Amino acid sequence: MSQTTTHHQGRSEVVPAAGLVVLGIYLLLSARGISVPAGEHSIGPRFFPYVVGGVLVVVGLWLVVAVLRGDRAEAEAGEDVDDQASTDWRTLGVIAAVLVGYVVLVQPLGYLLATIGLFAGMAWSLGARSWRSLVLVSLLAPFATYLLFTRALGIYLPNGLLASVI
Amino acid sequence: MGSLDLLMQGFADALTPTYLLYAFIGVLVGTAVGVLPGIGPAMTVALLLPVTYSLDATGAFIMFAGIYYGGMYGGSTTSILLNTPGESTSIITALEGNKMAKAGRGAAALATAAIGSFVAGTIATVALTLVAPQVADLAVKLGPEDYFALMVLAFLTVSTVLGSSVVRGLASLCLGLTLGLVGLDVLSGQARLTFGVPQLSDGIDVVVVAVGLFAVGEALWVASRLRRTPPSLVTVDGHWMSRDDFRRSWKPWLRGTALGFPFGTLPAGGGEVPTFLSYAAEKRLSKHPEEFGKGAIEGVAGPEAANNASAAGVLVPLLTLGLPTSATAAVLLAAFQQYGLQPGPALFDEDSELVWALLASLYLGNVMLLALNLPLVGLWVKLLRIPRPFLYAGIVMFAALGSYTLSQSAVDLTLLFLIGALGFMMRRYGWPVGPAVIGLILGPIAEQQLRRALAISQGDVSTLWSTPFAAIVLGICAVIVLTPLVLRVVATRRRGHDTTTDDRDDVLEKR
Repeated sequence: MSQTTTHHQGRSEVVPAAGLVVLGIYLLLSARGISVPAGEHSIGPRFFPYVVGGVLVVVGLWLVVAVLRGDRAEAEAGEDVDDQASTDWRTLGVIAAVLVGYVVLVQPLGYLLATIGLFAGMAWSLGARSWRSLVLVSLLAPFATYLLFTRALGIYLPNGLLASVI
Repeated sequence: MGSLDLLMQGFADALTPTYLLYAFIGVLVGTAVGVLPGIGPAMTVALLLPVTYSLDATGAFIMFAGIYYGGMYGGSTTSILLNTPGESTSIITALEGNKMAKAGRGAAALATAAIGSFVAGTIATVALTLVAPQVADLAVKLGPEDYFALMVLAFLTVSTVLGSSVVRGLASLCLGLTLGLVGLDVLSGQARLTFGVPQLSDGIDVVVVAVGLFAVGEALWVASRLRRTPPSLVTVDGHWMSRDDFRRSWKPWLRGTALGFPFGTLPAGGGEVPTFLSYAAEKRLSKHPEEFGKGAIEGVAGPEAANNASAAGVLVPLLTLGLPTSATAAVLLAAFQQYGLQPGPALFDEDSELVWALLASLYLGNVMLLALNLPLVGLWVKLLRIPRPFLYAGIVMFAALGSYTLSQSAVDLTLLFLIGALGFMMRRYGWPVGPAVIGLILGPIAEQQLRRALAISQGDVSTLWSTPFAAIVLGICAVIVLTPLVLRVVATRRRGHDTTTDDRDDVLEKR
């Protein structure tokens, strides 16, 4: 809405734009590997990947050119987004580690334990520093969710280590 | 049976205690989640999908009707009480409503939004009830080439209307189409883009993509630049609507409805365009144009009504043609697919009981929303105070839960977080997220229709514009693509010939 939010974050958008071109080329090349069943009279399973791949290359190149010529879109606004701040890569790195940990641990530890870790890790990296509320909420929220889904809604969630306890 | 009989039957189904309870839970949870900052209607529906997994289809859709309307409503409450809009359709509400709230008229702003939503929602639901069966009757006659043309139109309009940059809208659409290609091709059974991962052969679940792009993407985006000072929250005090407020509100409600419903039915991105049009119209017609921008009640009443009426309008193409025209509708379509239902003309014949129970519960949901929201405002205000670390941790937890319950597989979680990273990147560079979700859902359907059309014609491409309907729709597509190009050429020519008509060029450039 306001002009002040326009960020000039340099030309880094060229990277995702070029990524579109690469993705398009990959689609075009890999489409040749899709086997067409004998007796296919219509356009078959290769056609759409070719079209999408072609459009990706065109749109990607268009965006690369647009960015190099100084075209920038406004980054998305939001209630909790500080439009003056610059990207906090450290926090993002910690969150990425938490998410990877969750993917790795959710099966061996079971849903409940892993999710307590996920919740606490996310809340901590987003700035929750009061230990008492951090521990309390991180235990209660996943536990309540687990009970709601497994007991009230009858949805199965494998519980790994705690399987015999709860 | 006439529509009225069917609707009465729908009410009879929806008014059973169990279904009433589902509708109530849907409205309550939908509003509560919609109120939470950072969560728009599309994300509300996507996040709450798993809650309905264990219900029967009719029960699930009755709950969805409530979640859909509740999520819409909750979004506007947030934008009145906080000073920044959560989603594009409530930019206007934030503009005027927040100014009203700051001037101590928050209660009046919330009331005109609530009553306006009720009025608009009810009228638009009546219109939906009348229009949808007619459209469904017509839609039965459409062939695959007609559907394909409609989908091309939807692709074009959503990627040009949603967001401010056409090329970024198209980029987002292409990403969605690519994700939609993953899995076994429905018609030939061939694997595409599966990278040899067996779990990918079923395709990427829409829930994973929607929740990843909306919820995880938003959480990462907020985390990357979290506001250290919480946004200022206005208190809800001041008088409720006065008689004068009512006099100034009722016409905007009706005008907003009249704008919102038809625009919602068009493949034009849902509520964005009509809310802006309604605001412009009210500003023009108002006796107090000087109040606009400082908290004019008409500027809340009209756009809010338009927003809600378009929410009902969006259901017309969704239910009768299976054509989602907004990101929220795309997620709703995914919900139908989860139950093995394919919205379209056949839905009215084969599952007419479900359709009419759904329509009936939309009426009920509207009444419940009005009854809930006027007294519960205080509770919603408390929700806005949830500490942000816990709020976003909760959003990610719920997003992960929704994906994990699909097949208890870590592969879905990996995909979820990767797509979340994609959503973060898109937000950072201002790529709209909506077109990706629509591309993902509509892409495979468009492909099937295209191939079916060409199979019938035995490969003759001209079949794609052989019916008048398809020809007209494709003609509209051509106009949409060509108009900006022509205008640009005209503008450059003018500039070359005559350097004094700068204003006219400016006008052209803006179009």
